[in-house]
Amino acid sequence: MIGSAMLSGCNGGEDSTDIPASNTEEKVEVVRLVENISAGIKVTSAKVETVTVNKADLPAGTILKAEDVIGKFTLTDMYAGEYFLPTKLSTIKISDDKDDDPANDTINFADAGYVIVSDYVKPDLGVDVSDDIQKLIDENPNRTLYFPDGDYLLAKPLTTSADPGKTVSFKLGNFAHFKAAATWENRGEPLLKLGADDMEDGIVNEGNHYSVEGGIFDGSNVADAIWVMNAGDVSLRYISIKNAIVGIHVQADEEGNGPTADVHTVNIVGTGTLDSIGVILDSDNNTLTNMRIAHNQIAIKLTGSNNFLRNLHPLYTYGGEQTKDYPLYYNQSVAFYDVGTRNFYDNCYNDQFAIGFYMGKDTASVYDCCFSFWYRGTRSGESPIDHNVFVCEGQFNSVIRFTSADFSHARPNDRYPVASICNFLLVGEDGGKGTIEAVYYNPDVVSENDVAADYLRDDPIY
Amino acid sequence: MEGDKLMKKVYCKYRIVVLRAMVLMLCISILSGMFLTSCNGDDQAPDESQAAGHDTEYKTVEVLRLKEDIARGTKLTSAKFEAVTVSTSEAWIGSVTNKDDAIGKYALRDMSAGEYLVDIYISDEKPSEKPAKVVLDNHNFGFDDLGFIVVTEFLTPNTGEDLCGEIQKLIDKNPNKVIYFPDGEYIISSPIKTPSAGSVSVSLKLSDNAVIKASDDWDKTNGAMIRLGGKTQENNISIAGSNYYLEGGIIDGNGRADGVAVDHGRETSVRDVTIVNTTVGLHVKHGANSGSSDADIENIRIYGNAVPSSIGLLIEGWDNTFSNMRIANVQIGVKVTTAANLIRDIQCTYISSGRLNPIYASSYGFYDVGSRNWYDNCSSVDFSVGFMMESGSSKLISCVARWTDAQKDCERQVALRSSSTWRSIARDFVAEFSAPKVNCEYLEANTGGKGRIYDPIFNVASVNGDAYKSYLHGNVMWND
Repeated sequence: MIGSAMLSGCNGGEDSTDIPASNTEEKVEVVRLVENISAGIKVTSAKVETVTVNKADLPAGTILKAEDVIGKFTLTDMYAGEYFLPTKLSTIKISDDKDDDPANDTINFADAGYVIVSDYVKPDLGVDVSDDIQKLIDENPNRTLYFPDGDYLLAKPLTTSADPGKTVSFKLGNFAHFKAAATWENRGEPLLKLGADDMEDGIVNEGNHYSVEGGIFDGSNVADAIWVMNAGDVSLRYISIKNAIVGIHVQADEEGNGPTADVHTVNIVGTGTLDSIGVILDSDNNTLTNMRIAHNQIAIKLTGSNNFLRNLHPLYTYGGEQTKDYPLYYNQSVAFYDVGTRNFYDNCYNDQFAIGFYMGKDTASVYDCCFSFWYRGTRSGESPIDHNVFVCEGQFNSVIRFTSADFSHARPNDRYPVASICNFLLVGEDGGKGTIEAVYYNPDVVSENDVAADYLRDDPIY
Repeated sequence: MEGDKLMKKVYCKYRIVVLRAMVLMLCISILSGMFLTSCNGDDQAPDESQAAGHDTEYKTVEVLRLKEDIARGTKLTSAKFEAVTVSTSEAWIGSVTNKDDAIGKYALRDMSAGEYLVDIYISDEKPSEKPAKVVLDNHNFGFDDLGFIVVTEFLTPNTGEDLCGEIQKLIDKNPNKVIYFPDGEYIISSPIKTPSAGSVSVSLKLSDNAVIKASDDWDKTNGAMIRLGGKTQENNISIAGSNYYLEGGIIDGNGRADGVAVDHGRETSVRDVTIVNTTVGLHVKHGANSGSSDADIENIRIYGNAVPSSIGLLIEGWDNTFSNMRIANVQIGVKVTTAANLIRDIQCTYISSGRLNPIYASSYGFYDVGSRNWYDNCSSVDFSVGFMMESGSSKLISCVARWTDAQKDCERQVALRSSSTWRSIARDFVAEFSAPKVNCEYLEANTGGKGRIYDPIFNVASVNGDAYKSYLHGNVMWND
């Protein structure tokens, strides 16, 4: 085989300035390159020089003047000593293959280290690919697996390791679609178990931080979407979860120890069944921001503490199991079900759940700038439905401030003429050190069981 | 699998090396006066006029040349190639010289008759059925590996030509794909519309310096340049594909167009976008779900066209979130006509300019004619009125109205205003004035409203009126 060394000197290297002898002696000044440049590079004055050569030695059409090349873009790779031909230049940049110019590095994701899953696993074939993907996960520790758009059918959960030396990150195209197959093996198991294998923790370890970004996780009404199990710090972002019994479940051990998750801009649609929950946080110190959660009986359930919830919008939607025997199960629906403590809610806005915020016996959390809204009241012939902003199982020991409620109370002459049962705060036991300040709601429509007035620092605004 | 990995490496290497080889050949041919000799070794004679006088003392070598076209994956047999003697300058880097090195191996890409066999084109292992995507004239930055539709593979930016028809065709023909725009300028003369129906939706992803620009003949009645959910509309968040986005790049209204509109759909995401020279920068319309748009907008920069009635962000849907935005060069920074929107970390700056100066008195940083919206860490700079809360009951938490423009010292500077009574809540609201006291108000509203002002932060000596006092909870705080 011919080595490239055989051709050195022909590519405009050191010898290329020696134009072969010519029979004529007519000289001419011509511009030429002084360095190698790649296709798509703009020619600048620093990249060229003007030299005198025998005119007859130049190929026909060679551009002579520097001003005719400067500012133009190369259409092909060029080398030091090479002359410019019109066919090699363009006034517009039409090539971006600039691999040889470090100053113009562009991203090539395959080269950048992503494992492009579709190079190994074909989506869109309508067959289970869970084994193939699992193999990729297992064989590519500490790599990012990229899933291009397409349907990836799964018949059983994918699992990743919590061992920092074996973790992987997932990056999905916006329309990369993990979907539970018709042959899904175990109802309620998730499509993805993060940190399911191995048991190692410690945030100082490389590989302990990893992420799932983008794409669609579709539980097909039989599967959960994502469990975060024994991992350290996990980021979930820009994900669309559909038809999942449980959208995200951050788990903890019996002592309450578990991973921490930062969930950002994840939208969840549940199954409308009584066991459908958008997010379960069993561990502490998680953050949820910018989420929209719909079609669940409980939107968010917390059993841990020191979780920060900001700009979350659960929406109760009608239809499915949760609205059968109406309003029996409707009246048990909860947007934020907190049986942990010291959790922080900021701009959390629930829509139509019978209970906006539920607090357990030991809950002492902070609710700032939150909002409960009911778009649907009680229709003629229906039993009155509940509109409870806060329900506390025991004594009230939380802080509520700058929070609003907009009840869909009886509105004569419209389609909800029957009074709903409205409460700003209900408690299981009197007492407690909680406070309520600067809140909006109509005190005239709350029931006689409402005890908010006992904790108000100032009058509600309406 | 190892074989596949190896193949990928080979392809990457192949792409670079072959490109180099072709350029080398071109270069060599020029220098040797054989410029017109084709790279695949055909027998076209060199142009005598160019060959004249050149040194022709080249070494020769025997290489293998294909006798027929073959497809990727074809097994090489002795019948498919021939040995030919060529000068070393004609041979390609890595040309196979020994037929035993070729027979029985597989082609890693489609090859043409007359082409030399090169070591990186052939392999002992048969390649997968996946078609080779690597091409020499490659504009896709590798994004096609990610499954994106890279628009420059189908159209050419930077030409000044109207591309809206071609872009729209790509959107319509690629449901559930990410349409990627590399850097470059894309001129459009009418709006680009994306579907809101989940089965045919697309996402638009622009590189940082991809510019979609309105043409000089843009019809101002067209509305926004990018209309998300502008066609094939559906209100269904349960199906895959219902979540889509516009991300990155620059939307340039060319002084005449609106920028981006969320026409329909739910849970639309717009992020990391710069919008310039627009009359209305970003418009979230009455949403698909009984008015709820549920859009999530973040990291947006808007620079308007400074015409009267120009608006940075116009919100006419419900239940949206807007965060991390900077807006300037408009008469109204943010205008809200609906409720339940969260507006967070947004700064609006009034720019003194010829066209905006006459309407300074009606310039608003934030103009709320809806109700029950949340403003958190929002800042108005140099607008005549910082926050105009027309009549509703919204909340302003840790917001700021300030004036820094000395040209406005003789103009009114009002931090909070309502045309009737004050019905909103402001907490920790900061005002900093630059004009003489007679021109400055912390709150301009009638008394008797149910709104409140908790712990305001401003210099009481710098304001003219005391309307704020009837709404005051806590103390006024200021430290000179």
